[in-house]
Amino acid sequence: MYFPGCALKSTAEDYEKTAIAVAEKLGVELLELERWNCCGVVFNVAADAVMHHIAAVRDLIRAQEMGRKLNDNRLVTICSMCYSTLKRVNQIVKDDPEKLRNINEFMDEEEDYEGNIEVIHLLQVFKDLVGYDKIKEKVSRRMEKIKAAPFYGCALLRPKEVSIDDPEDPKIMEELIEALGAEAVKFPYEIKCCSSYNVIYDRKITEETAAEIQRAAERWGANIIVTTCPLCHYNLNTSKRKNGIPTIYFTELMAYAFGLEETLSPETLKIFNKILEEI
Amino acid sequence: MFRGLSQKVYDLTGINVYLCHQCGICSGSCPLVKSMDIPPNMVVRMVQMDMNEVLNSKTIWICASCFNCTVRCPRNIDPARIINALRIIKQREGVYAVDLRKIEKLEELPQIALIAASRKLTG
Repeated sequence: MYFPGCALKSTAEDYEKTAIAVAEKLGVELLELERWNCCGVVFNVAADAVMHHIAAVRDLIRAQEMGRKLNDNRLVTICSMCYSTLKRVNQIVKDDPEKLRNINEFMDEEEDYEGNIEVIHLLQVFKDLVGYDKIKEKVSRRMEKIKAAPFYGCALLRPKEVSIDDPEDPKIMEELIEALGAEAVKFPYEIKCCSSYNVIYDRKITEETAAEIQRAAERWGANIIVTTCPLCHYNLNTSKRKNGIPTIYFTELMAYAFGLEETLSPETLKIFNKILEEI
Repeated sequence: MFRGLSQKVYDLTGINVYLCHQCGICSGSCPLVKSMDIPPNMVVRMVQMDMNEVLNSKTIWICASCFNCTVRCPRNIDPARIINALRIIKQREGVYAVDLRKIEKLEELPQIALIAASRKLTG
């Protein structure tokens, strides 16, 4: 089962399309969660915030219902922010039975959530369930001219209770990029924050942050930035620098490596063609 | 031990702000500190000192909850969560950082940013 979320159905349609295509190529069938709703995007940290967890718990109930039919309790998220929110809410209701009881009683039109769903990110599926050796086998294109800087942002790594890797020194995307035959450019800004919803509060903050991250990736020799998060993707591409390097989704890089060009948008294809022409 | 702001932060998060010994690693790690008017370590200090003017700072709205400081805090007191608690105090008073009705070019902005902002910057 996978949870798409708002971005994958609007600004990040290419992300969903390529994610499903590359997973299929690797023998993983991603089935869209039935009747999903918005996860809430951000996690509310107040100890008494119960209302703010309702949306995410309802999604977990949907996963419980569908998981029973499929005999599978894993809910895969593709967007980083959905991952963080669903994972943290899942954890909080598992650790706090009173909170879970309150939520279950409030949503009396739904079945009770039992706390058995496991929230994972697509990167973990590729690393742990598929394995990078199998990914290597599917690569049909020479990728060595692509120097990709992995950008993790915040939601996949922090706080450390929900991190998919070492929060200070993650390697999961770097290893994937190398498995694809491209050069992974590890750079010191890889775990930085893209400034998130500051794009609404004060767009200048986001433009400056984006330019800073982009500049750093270039200085370390990258010609493309690879991300997992639709908001990082949007924010990093707001950078106003001329000829700044582009940011794409990791599944787009995979689709290109696997020769699945038909799933890529013309703009993304142009990005790859430009890189190959320049060198 | 708690009074005023430190009591409110404790009630909202269970965090004892007096554990902070002002090492400053939160401000040193903060990717947005240069856009803030008060750096995160000073925010925590102001809560310790019960200085209510901290609630009027831009910082409490600029923090993007990226939790870099949280991961690195040697006293495990979670500065991002403290800042978020201050924001929640304001939100519960009905003070919001943005007016969603006044956002320009709304249709060009991604939903993910709008929803995050509506939950973090408004009530």
